[in-house]
Amino acid sequence: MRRLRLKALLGTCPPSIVFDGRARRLPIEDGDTQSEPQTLQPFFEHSLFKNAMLLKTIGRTAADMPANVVQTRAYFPFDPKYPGNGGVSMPCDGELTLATVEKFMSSKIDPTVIEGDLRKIHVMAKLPSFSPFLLRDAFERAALKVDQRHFRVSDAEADAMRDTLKSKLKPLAAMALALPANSVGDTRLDMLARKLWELDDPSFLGAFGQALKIPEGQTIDVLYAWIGVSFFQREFAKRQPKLRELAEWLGAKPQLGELRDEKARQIEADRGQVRDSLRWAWSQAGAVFDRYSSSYDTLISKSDAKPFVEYLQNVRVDFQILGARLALIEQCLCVHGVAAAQERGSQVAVEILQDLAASLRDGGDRDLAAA
Amino acid sequence: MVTERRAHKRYVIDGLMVELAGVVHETVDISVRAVAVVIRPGVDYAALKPPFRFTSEKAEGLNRHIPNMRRLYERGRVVVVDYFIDDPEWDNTLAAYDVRADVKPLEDVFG
Repeated sequence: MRRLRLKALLGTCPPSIVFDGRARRLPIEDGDTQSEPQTLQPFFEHSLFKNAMLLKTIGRTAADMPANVVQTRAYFPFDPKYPGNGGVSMPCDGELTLATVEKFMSSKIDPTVIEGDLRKIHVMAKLPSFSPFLLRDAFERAALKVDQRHFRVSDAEADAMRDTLKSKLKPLAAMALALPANSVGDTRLDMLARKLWELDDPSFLGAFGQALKIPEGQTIDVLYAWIGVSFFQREFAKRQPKLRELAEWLGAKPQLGELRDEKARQIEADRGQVRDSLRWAWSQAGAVFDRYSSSYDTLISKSDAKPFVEYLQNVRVDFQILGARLALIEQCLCVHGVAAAQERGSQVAVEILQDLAASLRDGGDRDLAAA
Repeated sequence: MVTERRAHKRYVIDGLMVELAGVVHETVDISVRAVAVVIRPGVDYAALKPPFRFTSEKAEGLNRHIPNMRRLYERGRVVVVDYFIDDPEWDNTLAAYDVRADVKPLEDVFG
């Protein structure tokens, strides 16, 4: 059962929850009849990790809440050619140590060989999502040189997204105009917006953070999370049409004529479970965006920074929450993609939905984690 | 006029500049009747002289001649200036280039 869902996830690799850093053939560009196909080398260098896939899974932190936090796991397939056929996985957090990896692998590892991979995993684990732009941007900010083709976002797409997000910093840059001249330096708005994007000028950020009542030492994380929420707003909106389709699919009466009552009731209950969890995740995300937009609109329309300053108090939590909600939604969309492609009444569709519903009832990806 | 500024919706447009008395200014925000700009040294805002013009490298539709401009008030490093563009679609044009224009509120797809 759990293998069906694992197969679906690893087969389709939704980019925001599955990072496949294995070696792969690169497609030849359209019209290029001369070049030989190129191979992209594995993202991770150590042999232990070169076939690993990183997953964002969902866990539960409170009994009354389904699927509450997003976690990062490294998944090691038994057979790298068929990763959906099973493997083992280990949790990875932003402080993953060599000792933890050695314990998991039951072997000694040369620290100099795996150091670079651990740094990469730290960057990835701290992000609430593997959305390609977020990943690429995080590695650029961390000044870690990697082959960016692994992130599956083109230079043009990344540049456009960066410009869009940076432009949203203009009202914040205007707030910085009120700071003392010696901490602002260049008072051009585009320069201030650049500083807020790059987050690389400690004296400016210190003064700005103080004005926004951000606790000392947290300004970079808080502003980065605000940028992240802004990014997620587009990511969620992009998924709305597919989610609507899924909502309709879950709401439609399935053909259960040949099934016994008990089985039919179970399928109905599973559909209800998935629908309720999705609706909850979607409305939670909507509530975050309402708070974000309302404080931003007030800042622009009334030059009133108070709601914005208040919003910043919780923005890091919101950023993480959105990652978890996106992971849940992405997983459901992936399962829907597989189930909807089956013939009507297919056993595969029933089982994969049942598996998904069970994991949501449990409050997380315990089964995937145990894979 | 200050009340009017409060009544109109304000927009923030990336890269929108305004030329006042021959000096290019960065805009902070803009409504259909007033624009807030970052003060530049050497400009007498109490007696603004033409030419006046909106300029944008990113959006051709924003490059407009402005017949008249008049200072409303100054606050810190920002001066707010009254203007009028005789175009019934001007508010929609500004809205289309606002930094929030790309975002649509999430709908209740489960309703």
